[in-house]
Amino acid sequence: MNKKDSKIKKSYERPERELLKMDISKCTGCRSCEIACTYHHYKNFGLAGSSIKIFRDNKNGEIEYFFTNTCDLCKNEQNSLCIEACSSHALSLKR
Amino acid sequence: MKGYTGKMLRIDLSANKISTAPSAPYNENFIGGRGVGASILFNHVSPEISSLDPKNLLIFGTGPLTGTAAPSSGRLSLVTKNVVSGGIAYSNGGGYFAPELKYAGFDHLIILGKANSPIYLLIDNGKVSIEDASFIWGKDVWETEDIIEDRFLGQDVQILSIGPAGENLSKTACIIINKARALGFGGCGAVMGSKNLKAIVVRGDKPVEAADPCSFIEECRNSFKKMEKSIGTALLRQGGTIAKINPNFPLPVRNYQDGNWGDKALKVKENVFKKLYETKRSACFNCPLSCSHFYSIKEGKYTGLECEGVQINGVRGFGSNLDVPDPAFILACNSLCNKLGLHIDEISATLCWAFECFEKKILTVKDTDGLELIWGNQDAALKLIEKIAYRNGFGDILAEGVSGATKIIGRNSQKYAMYIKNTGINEGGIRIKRAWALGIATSTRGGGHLCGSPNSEGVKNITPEVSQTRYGVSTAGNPITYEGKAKLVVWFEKFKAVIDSLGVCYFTSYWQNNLLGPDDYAKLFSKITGKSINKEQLFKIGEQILNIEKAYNTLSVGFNREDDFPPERFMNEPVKSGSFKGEYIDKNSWNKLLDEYYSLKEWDVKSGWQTDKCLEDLELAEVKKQLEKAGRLIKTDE
Repeated sequence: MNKKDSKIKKSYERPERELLKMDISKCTGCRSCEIACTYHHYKNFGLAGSSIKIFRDNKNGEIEYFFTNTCDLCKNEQNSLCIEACSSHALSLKR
Repeated sequence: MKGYTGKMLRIDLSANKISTAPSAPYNENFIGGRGVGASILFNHVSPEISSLDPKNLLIFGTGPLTGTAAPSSGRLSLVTKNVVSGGIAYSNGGGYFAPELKYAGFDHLIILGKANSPIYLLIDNGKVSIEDASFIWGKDVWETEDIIEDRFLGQDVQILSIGPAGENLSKTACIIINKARALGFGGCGAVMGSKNLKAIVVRGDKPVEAADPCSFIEECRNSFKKMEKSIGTALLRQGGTIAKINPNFPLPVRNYQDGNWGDKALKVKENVFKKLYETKRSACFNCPLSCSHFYSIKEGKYTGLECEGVQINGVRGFGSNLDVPDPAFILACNSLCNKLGLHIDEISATLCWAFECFEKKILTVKDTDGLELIWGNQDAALKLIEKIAYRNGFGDILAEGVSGATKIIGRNSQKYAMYIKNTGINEGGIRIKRAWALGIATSTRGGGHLCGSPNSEGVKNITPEVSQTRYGVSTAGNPITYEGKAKLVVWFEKFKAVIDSLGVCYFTSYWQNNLLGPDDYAKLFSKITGKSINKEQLFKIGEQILNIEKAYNTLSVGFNREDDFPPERFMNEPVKSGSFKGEYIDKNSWNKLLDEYYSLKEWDVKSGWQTDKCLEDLELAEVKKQLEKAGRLIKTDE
């Protein structure tokens, strides 16, 4: 089994969220989106509560990402927090 | 207090004992990270022991902002007794390990003793175990990380480890996080090796709580917005710290025989790396700067190399100072150091010394295992790096670092050994930028510009007005003048000590031409912890940290005024070419600068040691007591 495949498939369910898109060529792997997402859900700071998961290969910087089915598109927030937090503009809303 | 986990993890490898203790008593006094580390080292590691004695501690630490939404909040601090200088070592590294340690439930991780056989530590949330590492001992850092990742498939662990250099107790050894981030200074990789500790693997799910989450995240957003407007952010995104390189940028050449590389610098500018090799921008935890980059070499001598890096110290150390204007070679050296777990600055200083000794015929092929150390000989440089890691042949001598190697070789080689407090120098502009040089020479960890050196000298937007407003002197942008530079260094060394203790990256701040200053960090601290603090209070803690570090050096090694001088070369041999031709450090001016620096710090001008008044003002009673006991405290009324 491919290492990265197995790493991701173990815990996460879906590759895409209907209304969010990710340009992995822009993603720097900083995980700001995960922190923003955790904050949205729990008003604290971490990665475990995030609906988006970023995996960075430390050999070549390749990024893989997944959304869990807990993403509610930032219900009750003014903006989508993951998009707002992404300094490299890798995340955006599908139009 | 919020912002912390409230716990420190203590692992005694000799006794095979794992315990925890409250971290609050330390955090309340010294913020976190470097400050807490300095305090613990001072109180628990005798200055008299060898740095490789099992009684030495490795004190890894996070800060209240680590792992939060604050910009660039992924910094890990390490404090230990310095293998190279004999005094204190502190290092600070990026990547993703530090937040994970905090999510695993610990603010600090203290390791003492020595395991009977190679082990690694597994910290999985609150569960901690000491595991056999025979399957990774002998492997390089990259292999080690790959093997561990395979073992913990799907668990998103973060890893730090040592390579062969640390295992072989090379004084040039460092600790590597996430394959390419270094805890560099002080031979800390050898301390880890001396404990038979190969790696630390961490995973955690526990979030960090803020006292006032809404206002804290607002303050974080403000900080990010300020950074978006900063010149420093644009420059770092463009090419990391190497974006500054141009033919007028001061670079050391051939072991500091010159301080200007001229047009050769054009061959290693960031646009060359970008065009030829860059595949991706890369960032540390929650960092908008993405100052790191991934590279892939697809043709030529180094075909097949994929790596992350390179910062300006790699370009200085393996490019200009070895006089090799070849970006592929720089990447090859940089990544070889990361793989073998070697500290780039110490390695560079040692190699450059060896090459110059060869040029001056102090060393011959009889000394160097047949290697022709002729400037530009890439293969010889790479071979030496490997030999140092394995302590093989001539590498066994070089593994002592530049100060150790010159003592072994003798033969007047000392003249070409560029070190301060036994710590190798890999710097540019020492003869040109006065505060930069003073910060390096007075650094409590022995050397390096990441203690008190400002990064503002020669920077256009640091006008006299900006300088005056921020630092209380008008000369921060002017490299040549000595005026105001002592005050500037005193300002920056406190600032850096605070940043290192908060757990964020220095590049977010004024230091790297970014827009976050002490007031911004005071607000972030207040809002995460719920404990209101201002700039003055933070700076007082910064000064306390520096005085603890200074005292530890005084007690361990007795460093004094003489040790705060740069090597003679910088005072006797001016820059030979370029726009700063003729510049050097004038010894009289340096003496005055030191007088001013010690006076500002209330240290004794004659000896450079601390006074009772200084330590009383800083409320460091134990520090005062220990210095007095050792006869190294200067009484002000005498």
